[in-house]
This record gives sequence, structure tokens and C-alpha cells, in this order.
Amino acid sequence: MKGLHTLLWREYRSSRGWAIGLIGSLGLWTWIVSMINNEGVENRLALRSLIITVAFAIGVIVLSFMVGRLHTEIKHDEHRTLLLSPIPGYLHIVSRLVFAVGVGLIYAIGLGTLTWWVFSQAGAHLGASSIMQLVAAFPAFGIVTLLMPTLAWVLLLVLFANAYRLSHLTWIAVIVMCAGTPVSLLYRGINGLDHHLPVWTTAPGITDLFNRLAGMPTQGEGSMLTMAVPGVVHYGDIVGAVLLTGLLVFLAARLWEEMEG
Amino acid sequence: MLAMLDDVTKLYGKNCGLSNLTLDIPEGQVIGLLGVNGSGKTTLLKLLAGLLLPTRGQVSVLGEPPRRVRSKLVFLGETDAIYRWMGPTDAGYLMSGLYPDFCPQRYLALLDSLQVPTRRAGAMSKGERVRLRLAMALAREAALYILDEPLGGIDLAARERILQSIVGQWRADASIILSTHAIAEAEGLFDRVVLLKQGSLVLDALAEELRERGESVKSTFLEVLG
Repeated sequence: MKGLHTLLWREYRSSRGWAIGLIGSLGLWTWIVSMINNEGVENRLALRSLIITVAFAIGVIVLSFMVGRLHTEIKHDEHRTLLLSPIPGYLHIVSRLVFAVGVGLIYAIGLGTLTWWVFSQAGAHLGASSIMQLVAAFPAFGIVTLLMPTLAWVLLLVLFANAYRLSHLTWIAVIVMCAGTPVSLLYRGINGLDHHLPVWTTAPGITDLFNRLAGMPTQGEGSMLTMAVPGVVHYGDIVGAVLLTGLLVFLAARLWEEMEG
Repeated sequence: MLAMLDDVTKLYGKNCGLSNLTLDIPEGQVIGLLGVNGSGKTTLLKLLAGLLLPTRGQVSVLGEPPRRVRSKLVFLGETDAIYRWMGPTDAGYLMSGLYPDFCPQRYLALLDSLQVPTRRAGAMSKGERVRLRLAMALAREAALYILDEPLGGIDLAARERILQSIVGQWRADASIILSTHAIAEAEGLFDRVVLLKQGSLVLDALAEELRERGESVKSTFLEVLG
């Protein structure tokens, strides 16, 4: 455990500028969102929601670059002190992942809170359960199903690229993979949320609100929705994402150990 | 025997890094590994550290393949860098968390004797960074210290301090193998001299014997390598 604690500290010392910058950018997003004062509550809500989605996607990209700096460490041989230590390879990978996921979670919770404020400004008065979903469960779901596999992919690809000294042509494929993975996972995550998020117990209900915005028929026009919500997410997505992350971390750890000699 | 290379050959594609080299390293010796650039010094040191595998032959440290006993080895590479954000205090904290044999008291003494400044590595000169890396490496209580060019790019006064620190860390149960081009400054430190030329061993002699014959390590080096 001392090894993991030390590696987490190293990651914090190495990446705190990135972490503080990303978390600090929540202030910028809040300011941008608060500056949107279009006519019409629907337009305002749609634009503000779009900005929050963009902010989340930017957060994933920033965190991918943050963990991807392992490439620079290897290039400059700075990782040698870590490489020769008796600490198992997987701990080196896990520590980088845990720190980035922790930062991502704080950031996502901030965005969730901002989303709650945006909805309250649109006149949707959420119940306690819905607030908890928006502020805690919804961000955690996004982190587990989107951010964790993406960062594990980035770590694996960086190690792979450095271990095998890729040619220029292969680099193109790697960049396509790096860029394509978050995009596909983002689509997968949004798609998953769309299909699996339960109806919220709100008045008039978030789903109704979205349906009304899209001009689609609503389930409980003007009335309180009372559907029981067993959980915020589809557990299949979580299990799949955790298994995928575990597999990617395992492969990255094996590559790290190969690099040890 | 602390370490042994038995008829070791290392090929890099068609190029030969080391050729049929046999070398024993007993406990308690300071070995100077000498040779011109490209003679195979770094290859030999990396094989001993388990960072490379031999193409043919056997390498063992404490009777095991080097990778299995890496925790008992210290390898200080020529090109190793340290994190630019890291100062001596950070480096000590990192090393004590990663290496169970790291000795903080010895590290503090080394920082003092090597006159390592307290600022972060990014603001240090190259020589100061080398001294910090050396303090990190020598503060471990290992069986074998493998030092690849620790004097590279270092001014004369700092070389003296580094050599004194290396001698100060010598223990009867540990050995040091050190490659260097600064032969004149380091030769008083060596118990034994190993000379490589084009991947082959051309001289393996006790420094004392050379001195008894009235030869310096430097003159022997120039004579053998022509």
C-alpha cells in the first residue's frame, strides 16, 4: 500500500497543474452558462445543456492528454526511477488511472451541479432523488462508462507506441484509435444514457421536459410522475465498462513489465 | 560470487554489442569498466542490471537472473533523467516509498557531501541533477551498484566530490562497477580494471598489480587501445 500511496502522490505532484486547471475551468463554464440569456426557456435550456455536454467532452480530452504525458516521461527517460523499483507494474498504471478518474469525478460532479442549476432556472423543480441523480449518480455513470475505459485505452496505447517504436504509418492508425475511442465511447455513453436512464420523479419530470422541447408526446402532461426508480443506470453498461477497463489495465501493466527489461 | 557473465554475446540485429565475454564480480570490489565509445560498456552494464537479455550465454547476480534480484541492484544510467518538478526532498520521499532498501539518513548525508542544491531539478544545472541522481542511487543499501558514466558532463571539483561519495558508500559486502572516461581522476578508486574493445574483453587486471608494475590505469588504457 505504501507503494500505491507514493505513486498517487507522484501523480498528484506531477499532474496537479492539469487537475487544478480542469477543476478551475468549472468557474469558466458556470460563467459561460450564466451568460446565456436567450429569449425562451426552451432555447436557453437547450443551449446551456449543449455547453455542459461540450464541457464534459473537453474534460475527457484534457484528462486523456494528462495521462498521455506518460509518453513524454518515457521519451525523456524520467520514468527510469519507477521502472527499476520493485513495485508491481499494475500499480504504476492503476495510480495514474485512479488520480485522473478522481479528478474527472470532481469535475463531473461540478458539471452535474451546474446542470441542476440550469434545470432549476428552466423551472424544473427537482426532488431530492433527482438532484442526487444529477449531481452524483449521473456523473459517476459517465465517469465509469466513458472516462475510465478511455483513459485506460490512452495508457495502453502510449505504452504500446513506446514499447514497439512505431513507424510513421502506424502512428496514423494509433492517432485514429486515440481520437476514435473517446468519440465512440461518448456516443456509446450518450446512447446508453438515452436508453437506460429511468424516468425521473420530478414535477413536471425531466423526460417530459425534454419531450416537450423536442415536440414529442409526453407521458404525464402537467402531472407528477411517480414511477419508482431502482437505480440511475443500466448495470450492464457499468459491468461492461469495468471489465473493459480491467482488461486494458492488465494489458498496459504487462507492457510496463516488459519495458522493465 | 556476487555476479557473473558466462560467455555472453549480445547482438543488436547484425551488430555485435558484446562478444563471448566472461567476467566474475566478487563481493567488495570497485571495478572500473573502461573502453572507447561503442566498446560495449553500457551493454555490459544493462545486461548486469537485467535491462537487456543476452543473445547467448548466462548472466547471473546472486545466483539468479538479474531481473529476479533487481531490488538488490542499483543501476544509474547515463541518460536517466529525473522529474523536473522534483527537488531533493521530493526525490527522497519518492525513493523511500518505492525502494525498501532506501536509507534516508544516508541520503541526507549524501545530499550534504555532494552539495546538492534544494531547488527543483528543472532549475538545476546538469551537474547538479547528476549529483542528485547519484545521491538517490547511493542511498540504497544494495549488493551491486552499477554506475554508467556518473562523471559525464561534470566539472572537476564536482567529480572529486562524487568520487569521494562513491568511495564513502563502499562496503565489504557490496561491489561497484563503474564505467567512465574520466580515467585519470577515477583510477585511484578502482580495485580492478576491465577494458573492453569492440565488444570483447581485452584486459582484466587488479589495479594494485598495475601499480606494482609501475603502470597507471591511464597509460595501460592508451597502450592497450592504441
